[in-house]
Amino acid sequence: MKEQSSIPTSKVQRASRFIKTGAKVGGNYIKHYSKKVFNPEMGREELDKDNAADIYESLSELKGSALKVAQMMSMDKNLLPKAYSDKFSMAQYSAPPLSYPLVVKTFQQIFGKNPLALFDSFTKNAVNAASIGQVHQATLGDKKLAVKVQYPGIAAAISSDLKLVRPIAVRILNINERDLDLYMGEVEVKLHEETDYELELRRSVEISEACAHIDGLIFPKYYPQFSGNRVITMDWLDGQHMRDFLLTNPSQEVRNGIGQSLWDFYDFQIHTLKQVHADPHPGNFLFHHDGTLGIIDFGCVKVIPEHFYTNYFKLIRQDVLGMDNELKRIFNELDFLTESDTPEQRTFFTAIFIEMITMLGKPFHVNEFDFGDDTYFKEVAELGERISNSKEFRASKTARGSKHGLYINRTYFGLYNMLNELGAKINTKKPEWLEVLV
Amino acid sequence: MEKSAKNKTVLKESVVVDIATKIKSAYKTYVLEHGKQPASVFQFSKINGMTEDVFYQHYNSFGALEKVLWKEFMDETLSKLHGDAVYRQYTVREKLLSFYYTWIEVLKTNRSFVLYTLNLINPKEGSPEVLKLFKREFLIYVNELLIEGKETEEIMNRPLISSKYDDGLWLQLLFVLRFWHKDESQGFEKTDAAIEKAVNLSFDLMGRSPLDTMFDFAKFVYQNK
Repeated sequence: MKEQSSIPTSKVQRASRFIKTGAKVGGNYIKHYSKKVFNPEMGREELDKDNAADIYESLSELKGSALKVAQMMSMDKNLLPKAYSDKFSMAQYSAPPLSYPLVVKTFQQIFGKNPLALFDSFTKNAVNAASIGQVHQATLGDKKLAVKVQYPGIAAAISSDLKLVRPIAVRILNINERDLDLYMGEVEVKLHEETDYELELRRSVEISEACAHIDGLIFPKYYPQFSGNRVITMDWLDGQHMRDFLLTNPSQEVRNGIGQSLWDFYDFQIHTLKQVHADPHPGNFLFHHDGTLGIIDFGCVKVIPEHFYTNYFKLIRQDVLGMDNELKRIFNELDFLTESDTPEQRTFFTAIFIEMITMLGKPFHVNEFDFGDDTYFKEVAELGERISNSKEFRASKTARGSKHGLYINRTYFGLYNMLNELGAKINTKKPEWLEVLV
Repeated sequence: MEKSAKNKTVLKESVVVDIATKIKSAYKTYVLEHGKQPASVFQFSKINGMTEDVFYQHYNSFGALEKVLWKEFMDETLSKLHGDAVYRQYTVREKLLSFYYTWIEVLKTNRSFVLYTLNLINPKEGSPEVLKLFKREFLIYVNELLIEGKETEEIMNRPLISSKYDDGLWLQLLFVLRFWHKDESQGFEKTDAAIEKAVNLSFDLMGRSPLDTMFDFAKFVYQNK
């Protein structure tokens, strides 16, 4: 891996990086429309591809929180045109690393020793990039270890980075700024949590121990004695990323098995632990041909508040869709509807939300669901498109939906997408109180 | 202190060394406690129970003493670096990075004293008097790195400019020093980032760049027109 040759330093430099992107994206539009004059057939896809490449390039040079946002954007495939999400999912695999002397220094600071004094071997270059740090491989005795080292100054950069990402996010996500602000706070809190490696270590140990009983899952063992505020050491997990794994044509049985493990993992976290690994991007999962799945990185964990949990998941119950008053109550509780809505808006949005819930809750309404069924995902995407293109939706300046929903939705999006790519058929287990009227 | 008192009885030579060490640490303590130089060598010697001429045997003035203290930061840094087996395997870029990280660590254990001297320096000054010996040592070190870098082709030999590389790196060191001086981030994390970025920038400038290719091309065209 080539080391990054220069990193934009000050806010001014970071800002100019974004301005450059903005200018380039603008240029891409000009290119697109001038080409279109001669070739009306030319699709939006090429334009999206150009834009995605430029935006990705500048985000990945910034690293840290900006990269995180790129990752989040790549999760919501239905919000993003395909070209964006393809390019952004690259952000999930690689970003240029930082120098070895700095790694040594970090070790000195935390352990008072060099990496080679702690381990039998330690790779000088990073073998992998995490979004706010990098991973080195180490050995100790016969154990192979993964050592994650955080970049310095990340926590301090988060807030200013988010301010810079904001205008671009408004632009490509096509969300109005007030909607965005409501959620930016939640994102900021989560990003700050991710820089707290001590918290991450505690959560990793806690959740992986609690989920150890689930079939087919492999969690690395964590080593608190080799971890600190900017270093986490865990067992090295072998395995392939999903895309490479799928290229090897695993059998349907293996796909189903892995998919089921994934489903059970999320089911248990959400309904029993009430806290969830909210970063289900493919880089955090390592696939094996024997049908087992390695899970790493508990940097982003969403704790689900009781009030949100009860209301949100009640919507999955099919019978609730028939109860007008109950629905109205839940919609108000979850901020889907607000006091300032006109009666027309209320009717419009109630109808939309019912349609969305019916659609997204579909896997829960049956005992077995085939996530390999692309028509379902196409329907979801079409619904999303139709809603975001509708006049009423665009005219409404109100932010809708509880901020807690942000990471939960993202988690489900991620889960559904992964299951879809796996083409897995799943027994959609759920807690008893949701089984009503199935 | 205790240790030096014990050693005094051992050998004549080490007694001399010990007095110098004792003067240095007594001076540092004085400066840190009073925030300024002692009124006179006489007063300083008296407080520490020795005669003036003992002080003058070792140092000409307080200023000279401070210069030596700074030079020793450099010595300590270099001996730490050379004591590290990995250091020798580093690329030149990594060596310089490693130098800065080690040096800042050394300064950190003396931060109050360093801040005291830095506060007396005019920030615009390119070569403060107190850093004179330190600078000389640094330039020797950096020139070794530059030679090595040219051998490994990490650094380009450019007519006129490459003889100025060491001056540039000295300015970079002053930048890092001032950045650290003003750094209020936890654990001086921002200084780490500043070092990383500054060194990468300087090595990218000194390394092969499109400008070299352009220059080469222009020369070719000129010679063959």
